[in-house]
This record gives sequence, C-alpha cells and structure tokens, in this order.
Amino acid sequence: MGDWMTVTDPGLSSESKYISQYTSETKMSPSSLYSQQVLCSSIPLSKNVHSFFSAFCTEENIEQSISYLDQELTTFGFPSLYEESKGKETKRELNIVAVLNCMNELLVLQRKNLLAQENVETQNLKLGSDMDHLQNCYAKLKEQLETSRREMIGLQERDRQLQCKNRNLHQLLKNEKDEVQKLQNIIASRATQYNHDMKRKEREYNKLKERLHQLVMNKKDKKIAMEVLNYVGRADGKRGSWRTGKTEARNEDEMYKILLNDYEYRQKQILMENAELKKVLQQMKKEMISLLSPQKQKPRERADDSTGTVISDIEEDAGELSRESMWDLSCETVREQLTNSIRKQWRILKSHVEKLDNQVSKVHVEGFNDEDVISRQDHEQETEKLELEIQQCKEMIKTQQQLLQQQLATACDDDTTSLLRDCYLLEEKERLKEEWSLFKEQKKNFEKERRSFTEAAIRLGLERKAFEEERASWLKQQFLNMTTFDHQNSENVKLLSAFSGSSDRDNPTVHSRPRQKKPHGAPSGSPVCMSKLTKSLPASPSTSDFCQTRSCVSEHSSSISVLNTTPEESKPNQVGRECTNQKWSVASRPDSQEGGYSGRSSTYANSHVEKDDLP
Amino acid sequence: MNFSEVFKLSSLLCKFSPDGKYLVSGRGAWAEGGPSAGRRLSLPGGGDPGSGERGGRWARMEGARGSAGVGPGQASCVQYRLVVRDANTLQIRQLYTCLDQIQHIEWSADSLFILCALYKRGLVQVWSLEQPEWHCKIDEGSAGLVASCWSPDGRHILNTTEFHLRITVWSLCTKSVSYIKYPKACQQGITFTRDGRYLALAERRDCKDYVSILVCSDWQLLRHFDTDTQDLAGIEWAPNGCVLAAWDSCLEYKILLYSLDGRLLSTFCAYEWSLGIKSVAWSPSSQFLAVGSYDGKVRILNHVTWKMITEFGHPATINNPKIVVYKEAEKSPPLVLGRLAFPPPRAAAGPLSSTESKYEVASVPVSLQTLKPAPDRANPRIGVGALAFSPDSCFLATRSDSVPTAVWIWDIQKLRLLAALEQLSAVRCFQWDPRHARLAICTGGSKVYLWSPAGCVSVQVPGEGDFQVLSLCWHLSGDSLALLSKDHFCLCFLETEQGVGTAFGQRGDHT
Repeated sequence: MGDWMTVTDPGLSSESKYISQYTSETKMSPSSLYSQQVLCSSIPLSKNVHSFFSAFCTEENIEQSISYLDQELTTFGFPSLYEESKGKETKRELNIVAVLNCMNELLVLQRKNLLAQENVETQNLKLGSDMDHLQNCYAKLKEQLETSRREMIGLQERDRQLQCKNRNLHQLLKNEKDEVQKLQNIIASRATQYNHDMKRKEREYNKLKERLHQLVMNKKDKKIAMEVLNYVGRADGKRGSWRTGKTEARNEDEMYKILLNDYEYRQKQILMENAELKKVLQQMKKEMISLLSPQKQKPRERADDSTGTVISDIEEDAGELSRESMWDLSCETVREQLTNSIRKQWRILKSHVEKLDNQVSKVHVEGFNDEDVISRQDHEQETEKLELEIQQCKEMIKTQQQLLQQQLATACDDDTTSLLRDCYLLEEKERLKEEWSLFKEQKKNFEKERRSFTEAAIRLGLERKAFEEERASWLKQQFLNMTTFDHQNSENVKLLSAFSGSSDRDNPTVHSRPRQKKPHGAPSGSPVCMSKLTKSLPASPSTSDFCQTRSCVSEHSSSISVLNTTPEESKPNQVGRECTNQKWSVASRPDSQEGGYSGRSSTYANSHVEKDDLP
Repeated sequence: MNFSEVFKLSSLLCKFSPDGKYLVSGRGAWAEGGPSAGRRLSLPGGGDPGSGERGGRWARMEGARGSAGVGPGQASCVQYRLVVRDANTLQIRQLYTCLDQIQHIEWSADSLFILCALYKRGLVQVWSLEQPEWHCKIDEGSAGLVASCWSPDGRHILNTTEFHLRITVWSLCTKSVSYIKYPKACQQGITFTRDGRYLALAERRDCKDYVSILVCSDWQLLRHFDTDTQDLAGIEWAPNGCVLAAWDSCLEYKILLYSLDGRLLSTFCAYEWSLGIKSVAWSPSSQFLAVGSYDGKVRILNHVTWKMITEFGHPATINNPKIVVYKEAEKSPPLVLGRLAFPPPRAAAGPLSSTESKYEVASVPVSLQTLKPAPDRANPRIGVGALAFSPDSCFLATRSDSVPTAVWIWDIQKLRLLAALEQLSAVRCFQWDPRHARLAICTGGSKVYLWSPAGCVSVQVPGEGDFQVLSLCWHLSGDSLALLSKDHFCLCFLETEQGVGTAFGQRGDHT
C-alpha cells in the first residue's frame, strides 16, 4: 500500500508514467493479478482512464481501497470518508456523502487541473513560439551585428587607406609646391642669367657696332652719297629753317598746343556726354515727377512726415527745373541737388512700386489662403455685407412679385393690363398665355360638368317634386290624420325654401379647403347663377369670371353636400350656415348685395391666384 | 564685281598712291632678249607662246602707251621696272627702270614721289611722277641698308643701315643729312603720328630701352625718355597723335602708354610668366587699344582710364547661337563646267580652275580646326597674330594663330563676338575697306573673301592658271581692291554691289 502512494500520484498526472510504474510494481499491488489481466485486455483496446480505475478496486479489496483512499484523501486535506466513530470499538462506517463530496471535489479539481493544464500547454506553445521567434531575432541580430562589424572594419580600413592617400597627396602637393618653388627659382635665376648674358652680349654687340660705325663712317666712304638731279622744293613751299633755340621753343609750344587741343577735344566730348546724360536725367526726373504727382494727395492725406517733406522737395525741384540754365553750370552744388532729388524720387518710386507689388501679392495671397488677419476680417465683413444685400434684394424681389401679382389680379381696366403686360417679361406673358389656355380648357370642363350638374339638378328637382308631391300627399294624409305636427312641417318647408334659393353662403371654413386644393376640380355652377354674375361683372371677363365660376362652384359643391345629407342631418348645419351667411351679409351690407358679392369673390380669387402661382 | 586683267608683279610690290590716283607695282627680273623686246614693242599683238598671252598684252600696252625712257638698250638687259598705272583705267602712266631688284616700294605722302629700295645693293632710288626725267639715287655704301621709308612730308627719306647702326635722314630739298644713332632693331621701331608732325623712335643704349620723339619738320629731338621695358618690341602712335603705346617683347606681357610729352600715362599687364603680347592695334577713333597676346585673347583698353574694358577669347568651339559662323564649303564642279561652256577655249585650257566655294552658315555649336602648337619650337603658332579695326571702329577682326583658318569679327559696340569665318585654308591676310565696314580676306587660294555685316561672299578670281591671292590692298575709296599673287596682280572693282557673288567677274579689258 505504501508503494501505491508513490505510484498513484503521478498516475493522475500522466498516463504513460502511470502505466509503466504500474507494470513495474505489479507484484506489490494488491490487485496485481487482476490488474494485469485487465491490462492485457483493456490497454490495447482503449486507454480509458475509467477502465483503469475500475481495475483499481475489486470486490475483494473494497475495504482496503476505501481505507487507502481515505488515507490518501485525508493527507490531501479532504474530509475523511468514514463517519466519525462514536466509539473506538465500533467499526468506522463509510460515509457515502463524504465520498460523493470528495468525488465531486476531485472531479472539480480534475477539471480545473485539466483546464489549467490546457492553459499551461497553450502558454507553453505560445512561449515556445515566442522563444523561437526571439531566437530567430537573436540570430538575425547577431548576423547584423556581424555584418555591421565587418562593414565597420571595412570602413575603418577604407578610412585608413584614404587617410594614407590623403597623406600621400599632401606629401605630393608639398612636393609639387616645392617643385614649383624650385622651378620658379630656376626660372628666375635663368632669367637673371639670361638677362645678364644678354646684357653682356649686347654690350659686346654695341662695342662691335661702335667699331663698325667708326670703320664704316670714318673711312670717308665715297659711296655714301645721294645723287639727285635737282633738289625739289619743300612740300609746304617754305625754306628750311636753321636750328636754333627758338625753333626748339616753338616745337615745344606746338607740342603743347597739340596736347591741349587733344585735351580740349576730349573735354568737349566729355561735356557733350555729360550734357546728354544730364538731359536724360532731367527727362527722367520730369517723368518721375509727372508719374508721382497724382499720388501726391494720398500720402498727404496720410500726413506722413517723411513723404510730405519729400514731396515738398519735389515741388521745389519742379520749380528748379524751369531754371534749366542752372544745369549747365555743372557746379558741384547743382550736381548734388540733381543727384539728391533723383535719388529721392527714385526712392519714392521704388517704395511705390514695392507697395504695388505688396498689394498684388496680397491679393494673390487672399485669393488662395487667408493669411492676413486684417484682410480676412475685411473679407468676412464684405461677405456679410454682400449676404445682407442679397437678402434685401430677395425681399425686394418678393415684394415686387407680390405687388405685380396683386396688380395682375386686380387689374380691371385695359390700361392697367396693357401697362402690366408691358411691364411683364415676355416669358411671363407666355406663361400666362399658357395658363390662360389651361384655364380655358378647365372652363370648358367646368361647363360640361356644370351641364351635367344642371341636368342632375333638374333630375333632382323632378325627383324632389315627386318626393314633395309624395310627401305632400303623405303630409296630407298625416294632416288629415293628426294636426299636432304643424310646427315641424313648417320648418321643413323653410328648409326647402332655403335649399332651393340662393341662400347658400355655405360656411367657407368647411368648403374652402377642397376648393383651394383643386380649384379646377369643382366644375359647373348653375346657369342662373352664372348669368347673374356675368351681369354684375361685365368689365372683368378674364379673372373675375373665373373667380365667379369658382364661387358658384363652391356654392354648388356645398349644395351637393347638402343634398347628400339627409334633411335631419343638415339641420344643424344649416343653422351654422345661416350664421355665417348673416355674417357675410353684414360684411357686405354697405354695398349692394351684388357688389359685396363681387368683392368677396375678388378676394377669393386673389387668394386662389396667389396659391396657384406660388408653387 | 569686276576683275581687271592680270598683270605681272614681283615681291608683292603693289601700292595705291595716297591720293588714290595711281597704282605702282614693281616688276621683277624679266629676262628678255634685247632684240625680241624691241620687236615686241614694235609689233603689237605678237605673242610668243613661251611667255604667254599675258606677256603679249603687256607688251602691246606698253607699245600703245609709247612710254618714254625705255630704250632698246635698257630693254636688252635684265629689267627691274617700276610701273605706275592709273588706278581706274589701269593704263600705264609711267614706267621706271631700277638698277636692281626692287624690294620695297613706298609712295611719298603727297603722291609725287616713289621710293624704291634695293636692299641688296644698299640703294634707294626715287622717282618723280610729275617729272619723269627727275631721278635720285641714294647709296648707303658699305653701311648697308635694311629699311627705308619716307618721312611724312615726302621730302625726306629715312634709311636704316645694317646692324641698325644708325638711321640716315636724307633730304630731297637740301643737301643736309641727319643721322640718328642707336636705333633699336625691333618689330616696329619707327612710327610717325598720323598728322606727320612727330616721329617716335625706339632706341637701345646701354642695355636700356628709350624712346625719342622727334619733330619731323626739322628733326629736332623733342623728348627722350627711357621705357620701363625689358626688351621693347614695338611702339605705335594713337591715330590722334597724342598717345604712344609701347610694348615689351613676347617674354613679358607689358604695354606702356606715354603722352606726347613723355609722361607715362598708364601701364597694363594682364598676366605674368607666360608669353605676352603678339599684336597691337589702335582703333581709328583712338578710343580703344586692342592687344592680342599669346594666350589667345584680345584685351581692349579704353582711352580714359587705360583699363581693360573687355577680353575676347578665341575658343575653338562656338556655342552661342547668336554668333553667325560662316563656313567655307566647296561647291560641286559641274556647275563650274556649265559656266565655263561660254568663254573661249582659253579658259578651258587653264588648269581646271579650282573648284568654287561658297559660305554656309554653320549651326552652333561649331568646333573650329585648331593647330597643336609645338612647344619645342620658337615663335609658336599660338596667340592672336593679327588685329584690325574697321574704319568706323565698330568692328574688330582678329586671327588666332592656333586657329589659322578662322577670322573672328567682334562687335565693338556690344563688345561681343559677332561672326566667325572658317576658311578652307589658313588665312593669309585680311584688310578692312577704308570706307565701309567690309573686310577682305585672302587665304593663298584663288579666291577672295568679303565679309560685311550683311553677309559673306567668296569670289573666285578669274583667269587661267591659279591666281593665288597672297595679299591684298584696298584702294582708299573702297571701290577697288588689288589682289596680289606671287608674281601677278589684278584689280577687283567693287563699285556695284549687285554683282557680288561667286560668279565670274567680267574681264576688265579684253583684246
């Protein structure tokens, strides 16, 4: 049993180890025989752990196994498998609960261990790969190090070589310099030697010449002579003069005269050149002044001291310019003045040009990126201003449009329409024409529908008559039957009369909506109504007509709705209607009934037109 | 452009008189039998095939002129003649016979006398144009003669003896003879002012350079001063006669400017340790002094501060597209043959008169042919060897010796290169038209080249055989141009601009 202790513990962790140990110590194990059998049979089949454990305990050694396990478990800190013995003599009982608990705990432990093992394995793998990687890196770096070391050595070698070369070159240069120096010395010495020799030779030569001269000239060479037929006169016709001191002085004088003449000539030329240059300068100056004078005001306004003084200078100079004779003096002061003024003007011009350049560049900069703060502010202000302006313009346009539309709508006489037409653009005219044609079509449709409506109305009228007759008969019967319904009857009559009459100023709040939505959709009015309206408004056939038809339509549509409703339902409606009717009538009271009508219709039309145009 | 007949000439001796009326030319040894010469004179038109037709014409003309002073006796011996012709008609005005071969011809300033120097004999012969019978002979004897020139008044002759022992001033008016000692043997040691008043003379005494200024009217010494030079190479008066430029030998770059009264005005030295000045030229306005040097540059000095205004390099490649580069190109010969179909067989007999050429405007960059100078040779072919201002001082023509085929023309007003002309062969000589901005160039070939701001033409000199133009000189009116070959010369008339082209000119006078 003591052997088992050593065996089982590793047996849990590694299977193969367990097996080997198990096999090696089979003799000591209590279940050696059986287990061997089992091993022979079970191991080749499967390495299932459970089969092993099942082999651990046999029926014979249950007690031993339990005690062993108990012992083992207690050493590991598990509670004992046996129940607490009450007495020493009593045999300890196996506590099933404890066993199960232990089992469970063991299982949990096992699972945990497995998990941990897995984790460890994966970590191991990871670490292994990391290790590999690092090893690779290490190798690489080592290689790199090696190569760089080699490179460094190479470079050092090269550096050394170059230094060597440099030293050599320096040496060479030094040698060359020495050589040059030596050669120069040689040249110099040779030159001196040559010159010396030359001089010596020349002296000899001169001596020889001298000697020859004496020999040749002193021999009284008869041959040296001039044969001439007769002497000719001098080219200038004068006789030759004797050589005296006077002639010498005269020669000197003449020479100096010539020189003087030459210098005078040159001076004249220089003067002329100077004059030319001065002229150019003056012209330049004049042009500068004329160029700069328009800008005089600006710098003045800025009240810049320096420019102010310069300008005054310019003015002075401009004054001086008139005294052109002064320039011919060519004295130093004048020259200075001239150069100074030119310089000043040039400076002004330069600054001006620079300013212009700056402006140009600024504009450029603004165009691309707003770098300058001030300019940016300006820019923003400008944009704001522009936006405001745009807004204003838009509003103006809107109001103008409104006004135009109003005018168009209300225009009653030909003059205004013609005027309006004049005012309108051609486009709008055309659009209006189109609309007009559309309206005409719609009008036709309206007429058709109206006709059908009238027919329907006639039909309805007939039906109503029949119905009334029916009712009359029925009422008669009722009347005949009972006289208590008098009151109700009279109301009914009233209703009917209201229906048939023109009392229909039906409530606009209810019916205006569909009307507005589809003004063309409401066709036809009663011809009676139509005729009445045309009578009342003969002057405006175009728009007013349309409006009237519309109003008629509204009446009819309302009437239709009323028709659709049963008389009972229409009762409260009618009450409201009457209320509105009264209101309307109140509003139109100051005028005649018709005038009020027309006015209302016109307002209606207004709203309609507006609604049509807006989208 | 018309060409005259071709005339005989020796030693390139041909000069227009200062007044432009005459043309003098020297005729060298002309071996002719006495009787034959006499016969020739009497037999006009008789041409002997040996001497060629030209000789025959020459003789006829002489006969027609009936020139005095040429006797049969003289004709029998070897003749050294001096021929004076009318510059326009080319008819012989005078004919003089000298004692020996003429080596130098010079007109007196008043165009009345002609000086002929016969250096071999140490003789100078002077002829008068007005009095053909008048003669003068100056014999320098055993002293010898190396140079002879007129004084500006035309009445004195300055003879330099051998070894530059002295200069003898002979007068034609009086018996007086003056001597000037210690003249320096140098490139340009004698110079007269343009107005003829003064003579500047380079001298060498005690191994030092001096300049003497003499008054030409009485040969009195006006100024005498030493120049700060190692070895004075040349002196030249400015055209206004007030400034004298003196420059050192090529071993040192140094140019000194002296006033007429001997004051040193300025010194200019562009660099050291290298070969220095090769050529110097004053502008006709006396405003500029162009100094060409061995470094291949021309430096322009101004007359106010005597400082350098600008520097003109002569690069072998021209990159600036503003510069017009004229390149001489040979033309195809068929055209020439077509042209030659018209003239008489004489022309055809002439050795295929060399191919025509024309100028082409080369597109930049142009690289010019350069010579590699031999460093071990003296007088290396480098540097600016020739300089000439146009008469209006607006242009400067230069030749760099390392690019011998090219002529550079510089605009002095803009101080930049204006044009470059590249010839097929080395440029021998160029000269500005005295009146116009027109440059005549010769290269030793049978063509003469003219440049003007308007353009460039190459003109074939007509004639049988090769007329190799070695030198040229303008008539002072600028209307005609004398073209000199080794032993012939002809005149080229330019009065009509329209004929300028590579076409043949018409013959001056056919017989």
